[in-house]
Amino acid sequence: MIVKKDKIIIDKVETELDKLLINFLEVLKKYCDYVVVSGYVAILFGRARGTEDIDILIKSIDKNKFEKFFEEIENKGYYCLNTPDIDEMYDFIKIHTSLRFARKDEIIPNIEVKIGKDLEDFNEKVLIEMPFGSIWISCIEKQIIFKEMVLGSDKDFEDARHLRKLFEGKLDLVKLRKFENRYKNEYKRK
Amino acid sequence: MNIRENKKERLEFIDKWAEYMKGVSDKVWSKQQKVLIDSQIQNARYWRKCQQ
Repeated sequence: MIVKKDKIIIDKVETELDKLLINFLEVLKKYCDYVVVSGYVAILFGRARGTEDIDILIKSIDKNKFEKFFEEIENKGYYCLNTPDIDEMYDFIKIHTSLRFARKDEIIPNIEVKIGKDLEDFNEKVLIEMPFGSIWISCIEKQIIFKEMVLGSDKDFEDARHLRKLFEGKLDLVKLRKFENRYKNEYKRK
Repeated sequence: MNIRENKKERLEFIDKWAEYMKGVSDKVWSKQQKVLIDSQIQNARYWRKCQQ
């Protein structure tokens, strides 16, 4: 694994989960900016566990582009688990509700797509280069803090611990502190 | 084994696995991880087919 400032190169073998994601992103990336976040990021970096979904944040998308995206993804063999109605899908996504997509005749694994409220996810994104394709993820420092301070389940703490251990000495401590303070302040306000 | 001991063991394994990963090539750790991930997905597909 080669870790650079805005790019990480991983010479890993492709899993079924990777195949699903790369296949889905081939379509999604034509229509909007995206970052992959949460559990898949930990798994991408070797966490020894499975998952039932892959979380993707997208920047806002207009209805025309969304319709084209769905037409193309449907032709590729995917369906939306929430609803078959495209107007309803767009209503969901507009109010920041996740849409789940899976291959026809499957429920898991699925891909959960929602509009990201935090632009920092896109500004601080990191490119992951693998032998079978490239993807954008939200930065590792944010993933760690978000899992520790916001999500907070045992699974999230374990994912964060794995990332901290794997990237020991390579994490940007200023970034870590920045996200830590931010979530501390957000909780205080609540 | 109680909950605390179980948790401690899980965390120790996480540290051990991450340390192991640092010492081998990406191909070596990812082949092992692939078995775990792919088998879960294959199981899900199998049970879905059975239900149909």
